Amino acid sequence: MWGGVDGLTEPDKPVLEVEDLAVHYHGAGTTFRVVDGASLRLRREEILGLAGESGCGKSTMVEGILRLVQAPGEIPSGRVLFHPRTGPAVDILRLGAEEVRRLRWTALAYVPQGSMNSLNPVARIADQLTDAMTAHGVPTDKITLSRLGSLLASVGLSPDLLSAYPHQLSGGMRQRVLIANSLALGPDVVIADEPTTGLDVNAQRMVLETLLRARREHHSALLFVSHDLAVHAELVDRVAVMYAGQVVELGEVEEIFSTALHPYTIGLLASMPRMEGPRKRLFGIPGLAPSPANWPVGCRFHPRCPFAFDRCRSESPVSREDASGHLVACHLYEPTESKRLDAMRARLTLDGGRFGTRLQDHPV
Amino acid sequence: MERRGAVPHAPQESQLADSVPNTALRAARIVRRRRVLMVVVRRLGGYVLSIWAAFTVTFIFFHLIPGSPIDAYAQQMENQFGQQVPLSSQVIAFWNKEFGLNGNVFEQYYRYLTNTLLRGNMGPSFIAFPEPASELIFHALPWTVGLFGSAVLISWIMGLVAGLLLAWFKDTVVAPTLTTLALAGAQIPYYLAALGLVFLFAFILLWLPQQGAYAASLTPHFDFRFIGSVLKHSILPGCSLVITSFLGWAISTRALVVSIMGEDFLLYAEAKGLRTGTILRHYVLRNAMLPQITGLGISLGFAVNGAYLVSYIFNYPGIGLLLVNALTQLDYNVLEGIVLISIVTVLTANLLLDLCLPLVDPRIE
Amino acid sequence: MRSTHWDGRLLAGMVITGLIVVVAASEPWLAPFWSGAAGPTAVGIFASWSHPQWAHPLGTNQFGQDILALTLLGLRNSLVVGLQAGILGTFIGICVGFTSGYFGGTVVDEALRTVTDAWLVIPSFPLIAVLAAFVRNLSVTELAIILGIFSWAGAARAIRAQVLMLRSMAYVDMARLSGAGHIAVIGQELLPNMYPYLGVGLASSIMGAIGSLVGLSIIGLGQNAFSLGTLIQYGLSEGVLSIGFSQIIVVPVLILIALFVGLNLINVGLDVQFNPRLKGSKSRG
Ligand SMILES: Nc1ncnc2c1ncn2[C@@H]1O[C@H](COP(=O)(O)OP(=O)(O)OP(=O)(O)O)[C@@H](O)[C@H]1O
Ligand code: SF4
Ligand SMILES: [Mg+2]
Repeated sequence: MWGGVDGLTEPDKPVLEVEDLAVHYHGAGTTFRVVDGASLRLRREEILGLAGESGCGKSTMVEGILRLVQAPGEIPSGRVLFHPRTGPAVDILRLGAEEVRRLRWTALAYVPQGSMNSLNPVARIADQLTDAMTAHGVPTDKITLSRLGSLLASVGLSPDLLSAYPHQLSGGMRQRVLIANSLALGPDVVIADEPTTGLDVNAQRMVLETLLRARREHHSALLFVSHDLAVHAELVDRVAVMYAGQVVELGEVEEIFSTALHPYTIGLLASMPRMEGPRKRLFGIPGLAPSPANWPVGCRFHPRCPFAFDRCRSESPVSREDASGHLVACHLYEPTESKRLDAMRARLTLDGGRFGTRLQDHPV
Repeated sequence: MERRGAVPHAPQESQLADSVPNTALRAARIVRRRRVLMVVVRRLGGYVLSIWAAFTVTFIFFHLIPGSPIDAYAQQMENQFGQQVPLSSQVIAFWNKEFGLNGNVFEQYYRYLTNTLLRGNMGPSFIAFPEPASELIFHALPWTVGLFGSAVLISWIMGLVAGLLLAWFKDTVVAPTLTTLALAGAQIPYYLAALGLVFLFAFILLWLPQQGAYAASLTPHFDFRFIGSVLKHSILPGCSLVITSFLGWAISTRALVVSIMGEDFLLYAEAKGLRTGTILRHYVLRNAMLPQITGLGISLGFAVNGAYLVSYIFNYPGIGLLLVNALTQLDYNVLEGIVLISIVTVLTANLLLDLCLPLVDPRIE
Repeated sequence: MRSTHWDGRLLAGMVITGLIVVVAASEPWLAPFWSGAAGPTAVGIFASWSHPQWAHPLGTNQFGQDILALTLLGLRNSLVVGLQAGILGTFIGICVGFTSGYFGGTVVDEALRTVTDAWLVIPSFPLIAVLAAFVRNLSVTELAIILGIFSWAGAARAIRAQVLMLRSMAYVDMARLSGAGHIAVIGQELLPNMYPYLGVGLASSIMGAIGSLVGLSIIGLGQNAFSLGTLIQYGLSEGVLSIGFSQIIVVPVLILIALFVGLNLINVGLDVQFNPRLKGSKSRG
């Protein structure tokens, strides 16, 4: 239906594999294990969504993948394997500083969350597009004004803005400058952290369209981070759901929306306001998100999970994959717990597919 | 698939909204030019007003202090002859006229303003009568401005580099220690540094001359020997200025750079895979420079007003030495002139800064 | 949130400054050990120009005065004048800064700010020197008052900024809404939160005042206050560096450097300890 998919060459080959990534912060006498054993696999030219409540560690995970974690943070363990188009895979976390520098922007481009301060306030937009190109060996005579201008045009911005300074741009315009910038070198992977958050509907559309075109034109894969499941529904191929510093479920977006497996995902979907259909009740997941300083033992979701049982309180579930490649980390899906799983399904059917506390009557 | 269908239709309206038509840009430019002109005029007006206010306050100040130039003159005679000298009314009248003290206060004020402000004439000096006070000041000025100005520039550059390093290596063991030392020493007055340096280098080590601006055997000439001597004589006074003010610049630069290093745009620059040199120059330094250029301008404004005692301690023929000489002989006109020239330089530097900063900093309209 | 952990710099500054203050305060008891009962300034009691020895650890000067005793006296006077002037300067700074900040944005604020800015621009040292030169026999208190009057502007500016910030916080508005008068709001809500900054203001004012006092003494003004600068001035005029009596200059210079280091460390430490803006690291969203 939309052209780019036809261009898929080797759809299942991974371009980025994150294995057991941990990002810890030290402060106030404790360790904040913000990301703690998170794994995911990004396939070539796919759009993978990363979802989860605010504060679950999405941005931190992204910074970990890009090796941008600043002191007092550190990456105590994990692997981030990047598979170039040719040649063997490299572990970004084990590369030397200069090697990482060269991988950045050509292989892995980044659209940071919070565009307001990501641009250098005292440099013109043109300079900030140019410096990334020169840093990666694009000869100066190849960086023409028209090339920079068309880069801006590709995100719907006027080339006039090349001579502008960031403070002269609105938040949405800056966000789009960041996106244009990330596509400047046709990277293998674009990691976009909440690129649509805070934009109006038109600007959101524009951003999503640009990201899709990037995939079409540069064959880039996209890791798309958003706490907003509705945006994922519009854009991504697969979704990874993150909870308490770990990826708890990963699957095709249609499957996640129709048959989510993990109780947290089910809760998340239940708390999603729907814009169409009959007036429905909005539910919230009971309890509060745990603190990275002190994750619950066992399954980290157990204090809030209505289906938790003994095992959940002591043993952390391992991630298992079904035949279709749908991943979930929950004890219920272990073969020995099939009775409990049936009970859960029965209960969900009774509740209309939802659980949790009723938040409010949702108008519409 | 249905939910994806909406995406590819790029909304044309928002595209239009963001591309500002050329005519609109041109109109905006004209409006801005007019606004800039207005700002310049207003700044200049403010400048003139402050100068006037400063001159008036100085006039009042010198009128309010007890005694008068005549008393000072009598005092001087007394010191000279060891006894009181009765001044005839003619002498008094002569001095009154010479010092602009005839007529009522308003006439005096009017004469003062026209003389000092318009003609730069501050009346005769005492310490080198009848040489005009302004003459003495303008002879001393180049020495002070040269010494202090270059000291400020040198310490500014050194401080910028040191601050950058202290911030860049802030997670090492050495940098915080050095920072604390710099913090501790930054407020030590220039003259204490001067005394310390004199003691060390001019008396213990005998490396450098302790007095004057050039060797007494030389007459001011534009040749290598003379310039060499000037440079050699300026090392100790210059260093005593540089040492402490350099620490100040290092600390403020460090603080700036540390805060810049926490900024999102620096993380973004790193994510782009820029080389460290590029990040330092285009991101860190360029952002730290602007506030520091403001600071430099303000410091240069204090060039005349900065370090009287250093000039005195080194017997350096600048404003400071002149000030001390004028003080010991109660030389009204020279003192008044020094105060006025100090204020004028500060205000002028501020004005220039106000007018030039927008050319450097894109964020100021 | 205030940390119970004391900043090392603050501690170091307090120890250095504290030591100097204790020594200065015990001058009346200490000095007679070396100067005898007649006091440090009595002339001709000992042999002149005696080199350091047990009875005179720093030697004696031309007039047979004990140099150590003189140094102690100079230190004490410097501190006394500095403290008086500093307190006066801080007091004026508080009044101006508070009023200005409390009425932030109004005409009152505008006027006070103009005066403060102007005060920071005027060349204070020549003006103080002119006053000290023309007013014969300036008493110690008068000198302190003059120094104080010239050292308030920095404190006023800092305090104004702080009050503006505190004022924007909710509890001040609440106090005002509950009908408390201006004075009550200042006294009960603002002042208690300002103590660290008053400390900073006081330390800066004292540094400014001592700096000017010693400077004046070095050029031979304000002689009624026998300060460390007076000793330096005496040393310079006698050329003591060349005749092997450098301690007359070097010891006061070292004490002053220690004093400035101590006071400035207190300043920095107070700022770090009580300024939440400087604490912790920034976290990104
Ligand atoms: N420097 C730090 N020190 C300690 N904790 C930190 C630090 N930076 C982030 N955190 C914690 O990490 C957690 C996750 O932050 P992160 O920004 O990754 O969340 P997120 O999923 O991206 O949320 P959002 O949707 O709001 O962007 C938060 O609880 C935050 O408090
Ligand atoms: S493992 Fe247990 S607590 Fe965790 S989500 Fe599954 S059922 Fe709930
Ligand atoms: Mg985030």
